[in-house]
Amino acid sequence: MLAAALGQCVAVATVLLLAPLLKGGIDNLKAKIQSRRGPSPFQPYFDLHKLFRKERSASRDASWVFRSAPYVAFAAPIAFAMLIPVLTAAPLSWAFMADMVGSGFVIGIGGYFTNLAAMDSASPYGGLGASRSRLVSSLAEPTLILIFFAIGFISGGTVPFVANNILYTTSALISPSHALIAVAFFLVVLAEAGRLPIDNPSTSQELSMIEASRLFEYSGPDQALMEWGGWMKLFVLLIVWLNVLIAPDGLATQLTVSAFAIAIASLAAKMLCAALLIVGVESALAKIRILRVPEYLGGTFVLSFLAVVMYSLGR
Amino acid sequence: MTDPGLLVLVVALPLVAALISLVCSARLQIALALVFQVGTFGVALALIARILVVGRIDAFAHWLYLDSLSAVVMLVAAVVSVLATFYSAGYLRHELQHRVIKTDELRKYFVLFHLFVFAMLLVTIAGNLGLLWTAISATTLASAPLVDFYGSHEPLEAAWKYIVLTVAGSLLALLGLLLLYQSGVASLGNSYDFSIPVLAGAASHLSPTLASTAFLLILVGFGTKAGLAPMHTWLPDAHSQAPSPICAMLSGAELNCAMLGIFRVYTLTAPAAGAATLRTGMLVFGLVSMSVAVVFLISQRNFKRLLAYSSVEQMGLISVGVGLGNPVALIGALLLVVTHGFTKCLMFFATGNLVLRFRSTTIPEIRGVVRAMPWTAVLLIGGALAIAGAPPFGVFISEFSIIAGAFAGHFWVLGALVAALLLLGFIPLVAPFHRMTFSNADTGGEVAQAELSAVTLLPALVLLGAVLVIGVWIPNPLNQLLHHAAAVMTR
Amino acid sequence: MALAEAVLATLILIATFGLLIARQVRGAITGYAAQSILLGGLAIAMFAGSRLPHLLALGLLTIGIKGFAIPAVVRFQVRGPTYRRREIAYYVGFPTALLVGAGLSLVGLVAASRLPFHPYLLSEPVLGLAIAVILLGLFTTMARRDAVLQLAGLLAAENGVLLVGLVVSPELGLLIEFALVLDVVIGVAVMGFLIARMHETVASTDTSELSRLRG
Repeated sequence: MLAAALGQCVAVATVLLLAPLLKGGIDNLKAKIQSRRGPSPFQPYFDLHKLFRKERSASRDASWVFRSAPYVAFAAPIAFAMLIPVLTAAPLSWAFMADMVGSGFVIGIGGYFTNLAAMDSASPYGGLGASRSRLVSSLAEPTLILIFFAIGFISGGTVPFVANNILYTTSALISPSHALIAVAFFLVVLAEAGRLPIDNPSTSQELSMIEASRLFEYSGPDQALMEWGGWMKLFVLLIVWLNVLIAPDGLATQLTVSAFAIAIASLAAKMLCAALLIVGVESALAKIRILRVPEYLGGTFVLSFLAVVMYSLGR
Repeated sequence: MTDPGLLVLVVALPLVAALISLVCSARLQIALALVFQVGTFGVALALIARILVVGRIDAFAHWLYLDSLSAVVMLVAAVVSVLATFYSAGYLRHELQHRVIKTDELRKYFVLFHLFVFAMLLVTIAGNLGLLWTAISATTLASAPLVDFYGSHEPLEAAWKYIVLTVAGSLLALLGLLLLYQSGVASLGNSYDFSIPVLAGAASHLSPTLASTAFLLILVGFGTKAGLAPMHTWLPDAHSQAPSPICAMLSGAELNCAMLGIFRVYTLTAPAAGAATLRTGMLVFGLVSMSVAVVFLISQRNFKRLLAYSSVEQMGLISVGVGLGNPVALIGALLLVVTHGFTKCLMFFATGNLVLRFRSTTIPEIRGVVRAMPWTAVLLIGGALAIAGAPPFGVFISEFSIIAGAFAGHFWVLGALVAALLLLGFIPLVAPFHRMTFSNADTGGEVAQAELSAVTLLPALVLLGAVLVIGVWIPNPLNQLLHHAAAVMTR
Repeated sequence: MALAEAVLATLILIATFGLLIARQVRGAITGYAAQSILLGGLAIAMFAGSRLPHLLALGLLTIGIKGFAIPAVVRFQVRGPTYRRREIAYYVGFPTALLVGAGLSLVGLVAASRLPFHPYLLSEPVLGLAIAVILLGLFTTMARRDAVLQLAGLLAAENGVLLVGLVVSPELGLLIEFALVLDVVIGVAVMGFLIARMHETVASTDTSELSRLRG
């Protein structure tokens, strides 16, 4: 029991501490590919350190929603991390709090509060970003639901750990429908986490921003929490993609120090591959116009739909 | 020479001719073409004569295969090709004299012409179904640039439509062939020789579902190439824009090559899939083609398009004849392959003379042909009556057999429908040619009487004679060939 | 069925979708090149499993000719100002094309599942994917007005047929597969010639410029 609780803490700590590294790594690799020197992979840690020392300022008219949003946005990915197989193949003590749909809600509430806060600040860019991010999320929803259903369909359970075990141990792992789900989910992760081709995370043009414009009104520790929360969101969504859908290898099956060390190492390796993939995608693609976002997400819906069809035909 | 040797020779000659004409000077092209095409024709006749004796020739581990069924198509292809070569000689000379084309363009024309003949003859002797498919696609690829020969806006449009639709169709046909292969895996093993004799030997053990699916895909796929409606839309364009000798080959020979592909697969899949299912498919496509064609015949102002729609109608009728399935209708359909091929070729030669003389393909613009070109007028009227199905020409006998077959098989409504469609198509086919021939030239006074060269008349006259002879008395060897071919299809 | 083959077959379908919804000619060519390279990779993966040497040859030929040579030729042909414009001409809009494509894929998958099929080196879902690829390719040809896109659609459908060939019988062998390669090369040459003629004649490759023949 104690070991399980400890394990859970290690998992959460891993997410907390590695998420900035993922962000820094992607930025660094991207700069390398574009033959720039680029920032150090550890730059996000310095940024966080700097922001936490700065003063917090907020609009006089902002309500409690604005002030509480950073904490929610920061806490949501952490709670989500307890529900998914970050390091262990076996479910830990809190894993049965929610299934995949429930964990979707948990991760969604962070975005919900961010949107409310962006509108609460009454900044025009905030409202713009909020409405755009609603557009993306609401269009991504059908795909996500379908993916959850498909996974549930294949594995007979919707708790991520169960799905992970079933997918890993049965031949369902290597069917075309599984591959379709994996591709569709990756594309949705890119959209949800505000990456290219939906949103350009390194843009400085306010009018084309989605994610960044929601954070305009924040400063100091609030901004640090918001950004950190965003990085963790990408991190945990990629963990779902990697550990549940694609490559569950290396997860700890026992609660020993060495097993956890291996799990953390393999997670880091997998994350490096994922980062390379994201860098590749982001270097190859340009941001698509906001009006085409429905087509992009419609495409992911079609893929997940075909996955369900193929699976049900193959039975 | 041995039979396999003849098989190789019949395709080698046009291929060699294409290679030589690629390098030889433009002025020698016509003589070269005449020599090689007459040679090819001679070899083809020798092969058909051999088939009447030996029944079938199966050579090179089933790669090449000729039997009575493919010999019928070979007969049409060889006759049409050799006459088209003669006609081309007269046609192209005239175009050169009037500076419509340049001497250099003769090389392009004849290289593609020889390749086109090569591909069509390869269709008739292919024993391996993969080779059959390749040859049928090759006919498209060789003839599309010929459709675009005049190189202006409309020919280009026609050539593009032709190639896109027929390539799409041939992909479906290939999918069908792959399913046909799969249908034999259960009885012949995973790896077997995908050839006509091997599959014919195991025809009753094929998987029924796969075999009937395969047939339907091939009917649609090769049917696109054969001009069956509703996949026929390329045909009137291509047949109206190509140079006349090429139109004659497209309509007279190439459509039949695609039909041969359908016949082959029909023969192979009928025992397993049940002939009734397959026949329904052929009847439906046949009747749709005939109906669509009749509608477009009625309002047609361009005589080359008129002839093209007539081809759609006749291909539909051939399909109906096979779909009826009884021997009388089947022989009628096979005879129609021959007579339609000859007659349509004749009509494109005759109208080709009109095009050369009047530089128009619009019916109202041409008047008084009987004064201007008496011999061409004879050909036009004779050919129009023949193609519309008037006795005593060969097409009439074929159509009559098919309708008689329908009644003999108690398909009363169907027989009546086919007869009604043919009657509906009769006047629209004959009337325009009548008008062009006999009405007086209303503008510009009298047109001077001047036939083009004899070379542009003789091939057509030969065909008119042949169609007349077949209508009155089918020569015994042809009769025998048709009966054997029908036997191959009902085996 | 091995992991690599399932994934590659799926990615082929996705690449075909990419071709279908590409808005620019260059994007469509990239989609076709990707599809061909994946197909060649699939043949090579099958070679790794089965040791049938002609699969290796086929894979290398496919990657070399269809993955690089043909796209390079077509790219060369479509250089120039016509292709700098943003979007290609179409009959069916992109969202509609996506929906129809989903429907066609469904048709392909269901049709394949209804056929009595003897699994050999690849399994039945791949047959469904392959038929879906053929339908998507042919639909691209119908839905786009640009001649280059129509050509790309036909080529994509042809890749689908080759994939069916790999599923149905990798031992059907040399003939059909190499006939196809030859057919593609000559077909591309002829169609490329016609596309070049279109450039000369109507200064564009929009086939709706070519619509004088009626009736």
